Order: sequence, then C-alpha cells, then structure tokens
Amino acid sequence: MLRSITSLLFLLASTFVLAQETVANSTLKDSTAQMESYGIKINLDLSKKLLELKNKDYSGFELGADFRLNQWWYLAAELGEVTKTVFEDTYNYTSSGSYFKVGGDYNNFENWYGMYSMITFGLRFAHASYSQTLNDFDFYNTDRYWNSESFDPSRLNLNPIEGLSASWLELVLGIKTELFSNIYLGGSIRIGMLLAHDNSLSYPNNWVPGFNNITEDSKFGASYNYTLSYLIPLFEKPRKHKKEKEFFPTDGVEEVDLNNNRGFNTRN
Amino acid sequence: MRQIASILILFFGLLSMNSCEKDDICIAGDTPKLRIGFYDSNDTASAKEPTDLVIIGKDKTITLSKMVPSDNTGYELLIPLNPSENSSSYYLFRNASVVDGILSGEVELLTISYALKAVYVSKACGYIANFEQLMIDRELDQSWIQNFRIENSSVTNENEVHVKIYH
Repeated sequence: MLRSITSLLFLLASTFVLAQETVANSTLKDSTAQMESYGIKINLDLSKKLLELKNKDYSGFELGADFRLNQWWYLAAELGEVTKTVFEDTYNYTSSGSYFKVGGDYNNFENWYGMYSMITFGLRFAHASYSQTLNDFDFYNTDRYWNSESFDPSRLNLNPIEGLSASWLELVLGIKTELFSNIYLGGSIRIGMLLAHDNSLSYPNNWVPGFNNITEDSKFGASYNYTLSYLIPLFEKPRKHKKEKEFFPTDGVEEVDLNNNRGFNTRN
Repeated sequence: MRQIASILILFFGLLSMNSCEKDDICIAGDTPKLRIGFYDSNDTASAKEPTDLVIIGKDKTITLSKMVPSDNTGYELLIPLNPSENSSSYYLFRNASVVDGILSGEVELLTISYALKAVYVSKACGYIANFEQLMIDRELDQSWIQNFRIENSSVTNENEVHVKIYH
C-alpha cells in the first residue's frame, strides 16, 4: 500500500524525480548501501502559540507537513488559522480566517550519514480566506471644534466584511535539526508576494492571516515561524550524494566493485 | 560560507523590509466642513455680507466668524459638523457685540441634522465622516434670517456651497 502511494507520488513528480528512482532501484540490491529514512514530518507551529500567550489580541494555530521525495526534495504544506486585532491610530479591526500553503522545499544541507538536518529553500503557493470586523473607530478630523481633546469618536456600527480572500507566493528559508530520534526543532523566514487581494479600498484590509502586514502600494510581506516536528518514518531508501566525486573515496569503494560499471564510479 | 552569507543577506533584507513603512502619515483626506453662503433676501442671486457675524456652537465657548475665500466673491463660511452626533447646533448672531463678556445681537439657532457615513480613506487616516440627508431646523423665533435653502444635501467636500442663507 505504502509502496503504491509513493510510486504514485513519484509519477506525479517531475521527470527529474523519475530519473532518480531508476538509480535508486539499481542500488537497492546493494546490501551495503547507506539507508536513509523517509516519511512524513508533522510540524506544529510554536511561534503562534507563544504570540498567543504574550498577546491577548492574537490567536493562531498552524500545522504543517512535509514529505520527503528524494535525497534533496520535499513536498511541503501548511494549514493555519489566525485571528488578530490590528490597532491603528484612529481605528482597530479584527482580521480572522484560515489559510493553506502548498509547495516544495529543497534541502541544501549535505548531511553526514545518519543526520537529518535541513537548510531548505522553498516556494509555496498560499491562499487565505478571511473576514474583517471593524471594532472601534474615530473619525479623522483635523478640526477640533466639537471634540477638542481627540478625534471624534464614532457611534456607528459598521458590518463585518466577510468572504475576503488573498493569494500569494512565498519564498521560504528554513532550518530544521533533529533534537531526539524523529523529533525536530526548526524555523523559517518567509517573503510573500501578493498575487491577488480583495481590496476595494473601502475598509481597512492591511492584515491577512498567513501573510501578515500588507503595506500600501507594495506586494511584499514577511513572516516567520518556528516549529516542533515529529517524523513518522515510512520507508527507507539508499542515500545519494550531490557531489559524487568528493564523497567517492570514503563512501564509494565497495559499491564500485559490486556494481561493476554502474553506481558512482566515474573516476576509475 | 557562501550559504551563510546568502542567509545573512536574506535575513537583513527581511529586517529592512519590516522597518520602513511609508503609510504612517495621513495626507489623503479629512472630514469636510459645511460651506454656508450668505445672500440678499431681496435679490437672491447676489451675495450679502452679514454685518458683525458671530457664530458659536451650542454649549461652546469658542466662536467662528472668519469668512473663507470663495469662487464667486460671495460671503461664505466653513463650519465644522460634529461627527460624533447626528446633529450640530449653532447660534448665528448678526450685529453682534460683546459687552462684559456677554455676547448679544440678533440671534438665530439653527440645528443641522444629518445621516453620518463613515468613509475609509487610507491606512494612516482611517475613516473620515461624510454628512448626508442634511436638514436644518430653526429652533428660535425668526430674527434676521429670512429663508435658507439646502443646495447640496450631502457634504462630501468643501468646494461648493451646501447651504444658502438669505437675509
């Protein structure tokens, strides 16, 4: 069952991934190959929970997952929900909604055998649907005749605006390191670029769940998180190296003999 | 090493992106005032100056009396409406004089009532008020104002005369 799921995933992936699999199959017969564990990593976002403790105007939850495709590539996704009250000088509003992010990560870190640290560069497509509720506002008025101390407080109640959405692309720089067996601590910083955003300019709409602050006249935003992860190991596959020649003298000697002309030997 | 450098560049890039926000100062809008024009009740087309006019809000101690420049060489005045209430009341004194701190003259009390509309302007400004469905009630017996007419019943800007007062 798992094999069929993974082979399906391989089919869905690019030809590059398919090419990798043929090499993997050929080395499977090799009993001395270094096996690495593959599986699904579940990531719980700690940063949102900490913000929640610190700030009573914020509540958030994010769960992520990544699935290892091969030595370097991971499928990755996040699902989250955030409610935040944004305070500006003359008004405050609550932005509440959920979002998802899907994409991939490329692990740029060449681990020693048995280590599973990650320094990843990734890309996500993200979409959020949310609502905005104006809680309280003053009218901006430079005239101080009627209210000499402050802006004029409003007694109007404006309806919440429902059904808003935004989508964006996100560049992710992430790190993860294994604390204990299968338990990881990680973090990421993200730069988002808005693709689409409901903004009729008739209500404040400068904070989107998952994207965070939107600056007027700019498509870019930034966010971060830190995560605690658990890896559910599903299967094992032999290890591959990015730069075969460098690793040849320590890793490849026996494999060359066993595989004759196949395998990693390009030097002799 | 190159990896660390690129990580650092990305990190400080992010920091600098977070620190500068251009939209912190409100320049995009303001709550408009009501523009009142004074005209001759005998010749409704010509402007007529109310002599020694003093305007003061009900329950207020500060007067308004400065005429503002207008396009048609008329006598026009901008008066602020109160966005926290659904009406604003003003005493209009003609031939006003202050003796021992007491304001006297020919007096009218006008209550301007309106429906408030909140208009979002920008992140820095937030909301301004627009005033719609203007209505004017004369609260005291007629004194010097013969008639008034609402030219424009919604106050969204200060460029045109909203109310004409004939005297």
